[in-house]
Amino acid sequence: MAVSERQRAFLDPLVLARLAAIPLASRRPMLGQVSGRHTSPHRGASVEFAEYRKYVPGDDLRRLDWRAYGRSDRFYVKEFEADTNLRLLAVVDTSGSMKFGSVGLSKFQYAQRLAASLAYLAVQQGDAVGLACVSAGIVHSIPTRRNPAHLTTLFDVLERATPGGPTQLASVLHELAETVRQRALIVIFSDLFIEPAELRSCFEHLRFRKHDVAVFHLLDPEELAFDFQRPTRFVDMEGGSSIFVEPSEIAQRYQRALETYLVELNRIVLETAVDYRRVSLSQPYETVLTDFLVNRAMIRSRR
Amino acid sequence: MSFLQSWLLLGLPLALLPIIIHLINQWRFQTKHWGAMMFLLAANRMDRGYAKIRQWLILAMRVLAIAGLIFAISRPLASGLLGWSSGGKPDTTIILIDRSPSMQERSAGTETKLATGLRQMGSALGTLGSDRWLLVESGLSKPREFASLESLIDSPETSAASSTADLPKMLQATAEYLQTNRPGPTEVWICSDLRASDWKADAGGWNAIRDAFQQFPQSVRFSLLAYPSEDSSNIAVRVSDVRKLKTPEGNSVQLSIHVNGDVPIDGKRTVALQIELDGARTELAIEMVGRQYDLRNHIVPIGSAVQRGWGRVSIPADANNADNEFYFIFDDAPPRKTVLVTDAPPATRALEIAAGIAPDANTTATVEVTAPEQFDSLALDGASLLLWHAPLPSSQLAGAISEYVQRGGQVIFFPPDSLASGMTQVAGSAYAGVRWTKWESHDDKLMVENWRSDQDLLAATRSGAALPVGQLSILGHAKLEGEVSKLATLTGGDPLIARIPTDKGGVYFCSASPSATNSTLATNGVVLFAAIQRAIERGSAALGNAIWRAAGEIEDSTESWRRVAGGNETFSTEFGFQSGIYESTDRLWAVNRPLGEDEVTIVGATEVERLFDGLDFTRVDDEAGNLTSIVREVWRAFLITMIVAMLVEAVLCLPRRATRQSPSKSLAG
Repeated sequence: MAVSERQRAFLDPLVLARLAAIPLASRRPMLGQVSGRHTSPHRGASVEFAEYRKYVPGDDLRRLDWRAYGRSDRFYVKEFEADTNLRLLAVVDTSGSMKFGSVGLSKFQYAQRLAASLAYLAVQQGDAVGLACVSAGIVHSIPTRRNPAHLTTLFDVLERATPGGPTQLASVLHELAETVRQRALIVIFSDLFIEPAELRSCFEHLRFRKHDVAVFHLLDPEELAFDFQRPTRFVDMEGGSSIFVEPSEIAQRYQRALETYLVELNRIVLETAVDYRRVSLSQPYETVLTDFLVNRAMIRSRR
Repeated sequence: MSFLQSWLLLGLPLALLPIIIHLINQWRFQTKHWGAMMFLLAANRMDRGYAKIRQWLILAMRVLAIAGLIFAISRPLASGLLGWSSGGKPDTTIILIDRSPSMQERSAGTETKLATGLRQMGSALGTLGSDRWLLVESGLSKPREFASLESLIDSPETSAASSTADLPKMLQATAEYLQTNRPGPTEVWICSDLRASDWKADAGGWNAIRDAFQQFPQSVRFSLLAYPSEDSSNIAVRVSDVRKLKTPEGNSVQLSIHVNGDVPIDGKRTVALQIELDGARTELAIEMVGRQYDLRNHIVPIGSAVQRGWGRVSIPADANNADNEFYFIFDDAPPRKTVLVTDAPPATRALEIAAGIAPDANTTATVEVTAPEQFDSLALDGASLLLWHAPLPSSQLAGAISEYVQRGGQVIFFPPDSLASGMTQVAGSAYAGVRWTKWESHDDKLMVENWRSDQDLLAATRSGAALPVGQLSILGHAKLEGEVSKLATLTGGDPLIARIPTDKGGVYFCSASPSATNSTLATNGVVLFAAIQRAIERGSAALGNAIWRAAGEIEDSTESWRRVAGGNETFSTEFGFQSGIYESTDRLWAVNRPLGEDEVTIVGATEVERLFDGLDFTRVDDEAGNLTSIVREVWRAFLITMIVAMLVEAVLCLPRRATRQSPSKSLAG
C-alpha cells in the first residue's frame, strides 16, 4: 500500500512488512463504524455465534432458530458477534524531555517510529487512526480516519512535530479522555516524567470512558543507569532550573528515587489495567512492537 | 610538640592535595541537558545531610592520612619541655646541673632527683642531639665542653655535691660563654629542684642575666626540668657549735646539734642520733615535738691527750641522705689576739675593753695597743683582729695589712682623732681605694636608719633578736670616699659601718669614733662589743688550725688536701664541694653543706616565670624515680592515625549494598 511517495525517516518498510503479519488487536470491544477485525459490544452478522435471545415481536423472522423451537417449543432468535473496526489514537509526548537520547536516537524519534508503525499497521487492517502531539497542551491533533490517505497527513504531522516545552501530560490525557467520544485504543508514547499519582487519575479517567489504554514508557539507558563519573551540571530540558551534582554522591539516591517511581507506576498500571510497556531506547523498536502485537493477539485468541 | 626532621613539615601543604583535587574535579564539570530531572530533584532532597557529611568525612580522612604520614616521617617528639617548637638539632646545648644536697632527695622512688634528672636529660638530649655539649655544674659554675652527651652525663662533675647551687651565677657563666663564643642556636637545659637558696630569686643579678640573654642574636631556648616536690618526712641534722672543754675532770667536746624536719600532727618523732667521735660512737634518741630541735651543749668526753680531732653526727637514712650527717672538728681555741693601733688611747679605751673580753673561761683574749708610728706588721702574726684608729696606713703598711687580710684576718678602721679635731691633711691617704675625706659634726644627733641584720657584723643574734643599732646616736662622723658596701647607714645616707669587698678576710670602716664625745658606740656598747667579738671570732676561725667551711665556699687551694673522712669515691678535685674531713699541712678542714640547704623553701612557679620573663622558656615538672621519658618519639601514633584514616576512608567509599534490584537491571530485557 503506497501511502506516501517519499521515504519517511521513522518508517522502515522491512520492519512494517514483518509486522504486517501480526494483527493489531484490541483488548476491549470497540465501537466502529464499519465492519472490521475487532469485537463490538453489539450483535452483528459475523459467523461467530454469540447467544440465543427470546423472540420479541418485530424481530426479523428470518433469524428465528427453528431447531431450537423444535426442541423447546419456544421462539429464540440466534445472535452473532459483530466485528468492527477500532479507532487508534496515538498520543505522542513532545515535551522537552523527549529530546533526550544517548543511543543515537532521541525518545521522540523512538516514539515517532513506534507511532508511525502502529498507525500504518492499523490503517492496513482497516482501523481508523488519529494523532495527538502533546506537551504543555495538545500541540497537534488529527482525528481518527481509516482511509489510507489519512496516513500521509498523520505522518506529515508526526514528521513536523518537534519536542520542546514542559510536560502537562496529566491534563492533556484528561482532556483527551473527554474529547474522544467513542471507545478507542489510546496508545501513549511518553517518558511519563510526572508524578505517578497524577497518572493514576488519567488512566482511571480513560478507563472509565471505556478506552483501551496502552502506554509505551520510553526511557533512555543513561536515565536508567545514571553512571556519570565527572561532576555534572544537569540542565532541565523542559526549561526548569539546572542542578550541579557530584554523580558519585547522588547516584545511589537517584537510583532509589527512580526505583520508587517505577514501582509505583507498575502498581498503578496494574490497577488501572493499562497495557504498559517499559521501553529502553537500546531495544530495537521492532522487537518492542512485535511483543506488543503478539501479546495482544494472544489475549484476543484466549478469549 | 617538636620534630626531629622538622624540615619535612614543609610538605604539610601536601595534605591539602585531596581538597585541591576535589576542587579541580568540581571545576572541570560537564553540562548535560537532562530530561529526568524529577529523579535528580528527588535524590537531592533525599538524605542530603548524611551524603554531605560522608563526602566531607572522606575528604577529611584523606587529608588526615597524608598529614599523618608527613607528621610520622617528621619524627615528632612528645614533650611538655619542647612545647610546639620547630625542633631541629641545636648548635650548642648547655646543661646546667644543680647538684646541691637537696637534689639527693629520693621521694618515693629509689632514684635521687639528680640521678633521675641526669637520666631524663640523657634520654631526651640523646634523642634531640646537638653539635656541642657543655656542662655548667653548680660546683664551679663554669662551662666545660664535652665530646659527647654520654661523657657529660657520666662525668664526675655531675655527681652529687655538698655545695649549694648558685643559679644566677651559673646562668651568668652561660651568658658569658655565649657572649665569648657566639655559637648558633643554643639550648640551655636546667635541672634543679627550685630551692630558694639555690635560685636566689631576689638577687639583683637576674635582670642583668635576662638582658644579656635577650640581646643575643642567636636563639637561646631555656628548658627547665624541675623537681619541686619535697618529701616532708626528711630530716636534716647539723652541728651548730663545737667547743673543746678542758675541765679538771678531763677534756670533752661540747656539741650543739640542730635537727630540722617535719613531725606528725599531734605527735612526736623519735630520731636516733649517732655521734661518732674519735672512732667511738654514741647513739641517743631525741624526741622531736616541733619542726626544729636543738640539742644544746651535749658533752662528749675525749682523751686528755687529744688536742684536736674530728667527728660526725648522723641520723638514720631517710628521703635525703645528703643531709643526714654533719662533720665537725675541734681544737684548742686559738688565742684571741687583737692589735689596736690608736693615735688617741683614751678614745679607744672602749675598743680595748670590747676586744679584751673572752667568750669563756677557757679562752684567753689579749689586746696589744700600739701607736701608729710604732706599729710593726710582725705584730699581726697570730692576731685575729686589727683595730685601726689612726690615719690610714701608708702604702708599705697597707701592703702588710693586705697580706694579713688575705690570710683571713679582720680589720676595722676608725676615723682618727686628728680628723675629728679638724686636721684634714690626714685624709689624704687611702686603703684599697677608700679614704676618709672630712669630718662632719652635727648639732643634732644622727641615728642609724637601716642596717644589714641578716649577715656580717651587725647580724641579728642566733635567737633572732636584732642588735640595738637603732639606739646609737652619732654626733659626728667621717665622710668616706671609695667603693664600699654599707652595713649600717646613717640619716642622710652616709655609712656608719661599711665593708670593702675582699676575697678573704674582712676590711671594715666605721665612720664614727668610739669616743664618747662623738658617738654612743662606747656608752651603748652592745653593738660595738658584738661587732668586735664577731670580727675576732672570724679572724681566729680563719687563722686557726681547725677550719669549718661550707662546701663550695672554700677560697683556699685544695690541692694539698688529704681526705680523712667523707665519701670514698670523691675525686680530689671535688674535695671543696664534698662534705667530709680533710687535712692539709697543719690544718684540719671540716667541709659541710651550707646552712641554706636545710631550708626547704621552693621558688614558686610564678616566680620562676618572672625570672625568665621575655626569654624562650619552657618548664616541665618531673619526680624523682620517674621512669617515663620526658621526651619520646611518637611517630607510631601518627602512623596509626594515618592507617585508621585510610581504613575509615575506605569504609566510607564502599558502595552501599543494593537491597533491591536496580531499575536499570530490571529493564535489561
